[in-house]
Amino acid sequence: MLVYILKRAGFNLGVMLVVVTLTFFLMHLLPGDPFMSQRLNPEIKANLYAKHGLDQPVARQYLDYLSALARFDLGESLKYPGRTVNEIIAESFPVSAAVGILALVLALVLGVTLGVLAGVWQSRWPDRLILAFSTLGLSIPNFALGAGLVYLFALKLKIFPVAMLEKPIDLVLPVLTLAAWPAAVITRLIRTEMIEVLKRDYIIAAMVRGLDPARVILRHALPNALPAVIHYSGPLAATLLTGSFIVEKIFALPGLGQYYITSIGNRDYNLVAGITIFYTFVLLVATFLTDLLAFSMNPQLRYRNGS
Amino acid sequence: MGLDMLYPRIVQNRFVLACLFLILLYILISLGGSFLLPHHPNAQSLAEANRGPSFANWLGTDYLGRDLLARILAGVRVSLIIAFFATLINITVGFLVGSAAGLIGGVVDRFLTGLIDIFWCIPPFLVVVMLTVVLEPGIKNIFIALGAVFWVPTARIIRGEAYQLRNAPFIRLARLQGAGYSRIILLHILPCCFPVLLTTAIFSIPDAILAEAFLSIVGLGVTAPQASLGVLISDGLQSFRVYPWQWFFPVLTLIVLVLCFNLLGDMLHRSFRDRSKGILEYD
Amino acid sequence: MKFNNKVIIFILGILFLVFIAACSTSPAPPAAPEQVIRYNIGAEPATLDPALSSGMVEQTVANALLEGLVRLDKDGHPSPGVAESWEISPDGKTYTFKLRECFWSNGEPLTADDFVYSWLRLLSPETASPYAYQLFYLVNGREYYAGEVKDPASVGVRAEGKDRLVVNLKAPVPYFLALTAFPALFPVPESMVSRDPEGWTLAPGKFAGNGPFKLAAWEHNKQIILEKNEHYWDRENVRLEKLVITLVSDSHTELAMFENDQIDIAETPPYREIERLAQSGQLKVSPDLSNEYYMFNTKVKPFNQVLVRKALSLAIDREALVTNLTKGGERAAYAFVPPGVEGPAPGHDYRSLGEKLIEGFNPAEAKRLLAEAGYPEGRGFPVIELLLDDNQNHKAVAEAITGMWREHLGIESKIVEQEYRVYLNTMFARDYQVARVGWIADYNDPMTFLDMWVTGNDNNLADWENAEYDRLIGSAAGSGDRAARSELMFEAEKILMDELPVVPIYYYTNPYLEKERVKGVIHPSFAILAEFKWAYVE
Repeated sequence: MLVYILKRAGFNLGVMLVVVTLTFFLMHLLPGDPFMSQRLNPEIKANLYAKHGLDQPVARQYLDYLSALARFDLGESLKYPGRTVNEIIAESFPVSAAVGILALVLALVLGVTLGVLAGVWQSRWPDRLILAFSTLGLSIPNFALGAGLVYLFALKLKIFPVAMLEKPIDLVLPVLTLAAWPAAVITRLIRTEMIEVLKRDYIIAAMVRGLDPARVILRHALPNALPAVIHYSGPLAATLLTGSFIVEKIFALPGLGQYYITSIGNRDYNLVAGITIFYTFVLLVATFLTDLLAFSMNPQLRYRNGS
Repeated sequence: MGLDMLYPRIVQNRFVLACLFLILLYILISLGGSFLLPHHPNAQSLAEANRGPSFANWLGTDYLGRDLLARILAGVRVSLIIAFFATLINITVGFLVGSAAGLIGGVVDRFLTGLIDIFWCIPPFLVVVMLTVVLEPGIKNIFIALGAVFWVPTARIIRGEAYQLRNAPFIRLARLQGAGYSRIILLHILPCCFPVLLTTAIFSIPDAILAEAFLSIVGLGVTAPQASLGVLISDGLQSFRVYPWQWFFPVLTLIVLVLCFNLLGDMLHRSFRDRSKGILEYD
Repeated sequence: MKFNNKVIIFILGILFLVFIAACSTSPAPPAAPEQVIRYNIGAEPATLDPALSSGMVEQTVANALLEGLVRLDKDGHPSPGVAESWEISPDGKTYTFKLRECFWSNGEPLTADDFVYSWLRLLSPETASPYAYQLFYLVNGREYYAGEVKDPASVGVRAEGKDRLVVNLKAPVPYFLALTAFPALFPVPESMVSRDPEGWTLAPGKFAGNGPFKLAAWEHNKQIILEKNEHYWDRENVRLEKLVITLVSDSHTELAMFENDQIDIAETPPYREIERLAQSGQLKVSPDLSNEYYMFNTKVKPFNQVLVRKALSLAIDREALVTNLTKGGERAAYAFVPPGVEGPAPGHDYRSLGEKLIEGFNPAEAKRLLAEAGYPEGRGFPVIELLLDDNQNHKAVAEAITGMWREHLGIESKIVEQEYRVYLNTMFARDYQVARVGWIADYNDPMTFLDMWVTGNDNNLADWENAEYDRLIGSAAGSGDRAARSELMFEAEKILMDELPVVPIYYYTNPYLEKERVKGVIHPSFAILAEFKWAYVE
């Protein structure tokens, strides 16, 4: 087990190195630079370049970046003087993570519950209803859902505030917006798996023997339907935890998600690279944890995932 | 391996039939729309800007007085073109990388799997946004950028399939008879993976439509005066409380379009899943 | 390592309960205290250090926290700030400021030495301030910045005792007094800055200011909270106790918050909602010193021909644009410098010298000129490539204008939308034919719109050359007499509008939303978005 973890950690480090390199050079390839302004003054620009070491050759900047990275230093933001990338991530990640965890839990609870119900009542009206809702959930983009929720609940019914994060209740609309899509995916995943599992001999046998159907479904069928969801929830957790650009913009949440787009627009090289590294890190950790979870639930998987 | 087996299933399910019909209708109208309608999608008249739905303009007009219905149909076409080519790149690259990795195995597999894993770990929209900035927004570059990230999960799935097929008797036989990898991939793996590929492709179309809409909202959509559904939605979003139809109709179109593809994909997925049992249980 | 499914279900259950509990916490009472204004500024400031920032958002907050030698009043005229009085030498080159006795918000005294320190810091190449050029007017200012002069004592700013500041300029600059109200020229506290040169504005504990408000909190991407500064010299006239500056960037979210009473002032109402907001009486509009123009690359055929540029200008129906499309109170522009810029005398509008320097919409004349240029009915005219940044409002205007060119001149165009920095890059590389540009005044003088069109200027992206224009602008820049230099600049502007390397489209205004109970907030026409010193709630 330890060897496996070490091997995997080593591989993941390699992945991160490649990701860093790709992002770094792709960013420097983008036309335009961080200190570009409509009021161009060559002397001033040269000074700003020198101040941030951008006058060095790119290869040199890359090496400097890597050596700082080895000390877990993601560098200074170019757009926000005096703030380091580490600080920016440390400030904004908790907000995104709070919304993301709630959305993840909501999506899992809703998805698993609805999926099981739909699977059990396959092809009858609850199933059709749930299926219809989940397909709709897959088809409504979050920018439409978010705008619709704000319009209905905040402006018309005035149940929730429009935006800004001050009280826990402010989280309801963003969490709903964020959870709708994954909940729909999970519902469909679980439903398909449940239908499969419920056809198996041992379930039919258990039913025939007169065991409580609810018990059979929860104790025997559901655990066999879960691995698919567990595998899906690794990358999902990473995406949700690191924030969504659209949701954070609509609801004015001070999270990490909005930096993805704005930092590229600002050509804030360090911030873009830092966020990418952080995302990759979260993704790798989340995948690793869900794999462990899947392992412990199903010994058969232990060998298949060994490489 | 023909599609004939699908036929009864489609006819059986009226819902799916309706979806297929709608999709074909969308494609036909959006391709021939400019001939059918009295309005050109780019014909503007500032004096008639922001009119609500009327007999002359069924879905109203936009901020430059252009007919919204004509704009939406042209937008559907652009969105479909982007989605189609992004999907084409997705399944082509995904299939080639995945099947090569699964079939050849060894160093090639490790290299390609590593590649897939690395791409898996980069935030996809970051790549898409950076690529569209580098390449400049436009239909071609948007589908290239989308294709550049969409192939990754496909390659993963196909690799799994090809890996399982690697030792199937008919593939062993072909190899004994001296068939090269490319021949095996095209003649044997491709037909076996066809159901998976088709399902992936159908699901990738709505994904691409949504991704394109996201790009438009971020400001990286196709360039004016062309408009995709995403551009129309993001334009409509600017005024969705004053002229709600400018937002509502494009959104509705998008949702219906995506819904149709999702339902079609569902149906395919289910029918292939039931059928595939007999094929894959070979050992 | 074995996980029981019960455990998982248990954990999920607990998390669900936590979620429910978190959601059902009762909301805090909304009771708003008396003198508080909630103002949405629309973006996270990059920094609050006046020397390191270059945007209006940053400068607006800096203006509430700090104060220069003078402060502009509601009419834009300099009123005493840290300087209680000043003298200007007859040649207009020497300014002597008498400073009042005043303090930083941490209680330390503020003296003339603080200004010398701050201005030299602005000019120091190590600071790399984007606005360093605002002090290039000083004797040896530019030379010090370029490193040609090392001795700070030779730069034209010095303290005479604690309360006298003497400034020496290279040439008379009639707007220099007003310029000292510009955030880049604010004093900064050396004791705080030296501890954390770039981060000193980031937290209340690190910060000290001399303005009407002090920093109470900065929660990034959410809000900045300012409170009344008890050490401010004019605290009797500051009635506002607290200013909450929210940093919501989405204009629709901002509008919804305004309508939901979560904010009192919304700085950037959504463009297309403006008509509705104006009709319902909620919209307020203040003047703005900025314009929108289309610039030609005058080195590229066929835009090197004046006739072609004139024809394209005549085919634009500016009135239709502002009445049917933009609707934000913009005014059709028939000259380059917007109205509201100070001209022959203080308080005397430069535009009063002449409003209309180009002819308005005239498609027949446009056609004639185009034919004369060799393109009858647009035949043989290449497809115009029109460069834009990725702003939806600019796109709408561009679509309308290219539509007019197609309709009246038979010329097709292709709109090239580029992400903002790519767009700047393309323009600076001269890799464009026609580009949409907007310009905002740096200071209240026509020169801020005119000096960039001088041959070889870094911002003359049209690459336009005219010796007579250069001469007129040169003599205006060397003259200290307001009336005379206004005349010279007006003559120069006539040449600019005659040759049309840039075609003005319209002058902007500044639309905003403000609750009726909010009083005394000034919305200046340039440099900063809102001035809160005299603000209060009724």
